[in-house]
Amino acid sequence: MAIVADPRRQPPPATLPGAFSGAAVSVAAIMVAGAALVIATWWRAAPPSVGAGAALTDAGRLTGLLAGYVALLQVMLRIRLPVVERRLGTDSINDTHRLLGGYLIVLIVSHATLITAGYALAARSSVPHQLTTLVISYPYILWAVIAACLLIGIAISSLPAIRRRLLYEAWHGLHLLVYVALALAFFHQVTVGEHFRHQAVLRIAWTVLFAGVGAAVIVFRFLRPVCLSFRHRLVVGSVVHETPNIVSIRVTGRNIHRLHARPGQYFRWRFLAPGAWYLVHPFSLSEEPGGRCLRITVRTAGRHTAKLAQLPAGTRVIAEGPCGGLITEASWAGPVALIAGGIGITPLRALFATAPCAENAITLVYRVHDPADIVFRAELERIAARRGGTVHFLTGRRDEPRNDLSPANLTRLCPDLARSRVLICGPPGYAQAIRASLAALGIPRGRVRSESFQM
Amino acid sequence: MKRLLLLVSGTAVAIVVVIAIRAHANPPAHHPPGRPSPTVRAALPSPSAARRAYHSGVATGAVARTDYGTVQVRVTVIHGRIVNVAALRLPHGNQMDVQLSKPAARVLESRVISAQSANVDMVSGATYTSEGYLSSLQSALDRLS
Repeated sequence: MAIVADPRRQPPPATLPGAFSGAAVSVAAIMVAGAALVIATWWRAAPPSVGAGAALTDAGRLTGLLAGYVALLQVMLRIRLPVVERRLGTDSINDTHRLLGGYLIVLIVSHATLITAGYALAARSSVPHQLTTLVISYPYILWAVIAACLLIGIAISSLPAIRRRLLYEAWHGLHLLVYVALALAFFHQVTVGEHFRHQAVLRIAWTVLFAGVGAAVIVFRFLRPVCLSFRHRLVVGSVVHETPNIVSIRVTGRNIHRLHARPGQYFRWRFLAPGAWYLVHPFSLSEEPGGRCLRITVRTAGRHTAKLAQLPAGTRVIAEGPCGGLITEASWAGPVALIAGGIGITPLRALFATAPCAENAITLVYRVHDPADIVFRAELERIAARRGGTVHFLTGRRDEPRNDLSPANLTRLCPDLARSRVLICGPPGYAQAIRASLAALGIPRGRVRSESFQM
Repeated sequence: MKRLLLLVSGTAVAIVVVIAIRAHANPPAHHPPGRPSPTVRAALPSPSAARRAYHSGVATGAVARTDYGTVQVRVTVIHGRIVNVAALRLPHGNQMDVQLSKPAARVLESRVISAQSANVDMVSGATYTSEGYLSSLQSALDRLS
């Protein structure tokens, strides 16, 4: 998102609040406002509860409503809405999704517990008896219980310790059941939900909200990528080996500029070739998107990515995106520091050539373990010469002093760091270590953006 | 984890505050004996009339409409005493209404029989059903007085 501002009126960059954190704040404000609206509607519409357990029942109803709302937010965060992708960036979206995921589970468990306890008090029955009554004789509660179990299972499978042990496909397949769970849970909301069952207007509004999110999923996750692929006739143009296990794939098509992809962004790629069509890979553009061509650069060491080295030219490509927010504002006039780890060079290679910055004030730090894994060396040096930028290649063991990610060493590599817009791409641990050093240097979080690749 | 705890505790506080304010703004319709809530007062006899004897017979009350559905009762009076109140219609829009209103009707019937009037406490948690029940009962008793 370009921030329009008069450069003459700008305070010195060091005091500029981060435009990125501004976006995060506005997204958070929109989310909280939505929650407040949900609660306000309940306040106006729900009949007052009376008697024993009323407070528990009310709390149960509110947690239930919030759970429904947060579940929709979770979906909206995940359907790659272009504006959300650009403004928040992938790391921030993932972060929010994880946070709200845990929150959703807490809400669902509280909802079930509070409602059961509240009704049991009102009916003067025992909790187990009340639970049985709820599940057996209330409409769609059994469906909701199944939905809750699915969501809890999905949340458990996403805990880092469990996720590491699962195949990506297994984890992802399980995660797709979220849509089933939300559909199952919807029915008890409108049939038993206290203010929905008595007020047709609210019931219809809630239904429209769910249907709208469902439609957005279909449009943004399925129809749009397929339409883009056909409209732009995306096919594999060529596959070039950069190093023995890194290849660049050129995807050609027409009117590429109308994809509105920006340097630093990525697409989720599906290559319609035997043995590869059922896999989706997030790969960054490794070159500024041109008129007829998008270039991605891929490590082929993985179980699935190995197949990509043999893609024949002409293979049809379906691309979902553009995703990610590793971008700079057009108006940025200060220095820029790009810090890459391993194959994380790809989006930064595109940004190195294009990111707006003060004259001669762009620095790229490129860290790889093995010098043989350096890609784009010639390209990077050519760009550095053209733009008056600086490239540092850091190779060798991690514990060598020159490879240190400490604040002192980063400042040595990028002298202007304290005033820079910083963009990081690398493995999660790498990005985290650098963020910690930048925080120690007092660089506001809003001026730093990182994207970590992890499947 | 820290942010999740913050979010959860913030929500808990918000919910407690919302419920507390709402309970304060809409005090529960539960009313002490002899002081019926304004909405039912019109249908209820004055306490002094409560002990009046009724003619023997069976009378069906008027249909009372509530937000949750209609309520209608039939009262049986033998030798001036209310011996039975049958609920002819109760809210039954869904399982939840049925589950709330049936036990409420039983409780109301026993309260009515021991008080020998329609001037009894409503059942908490089933206020609308109680209001309808007692107003239908009162119209039935009026026919027998």
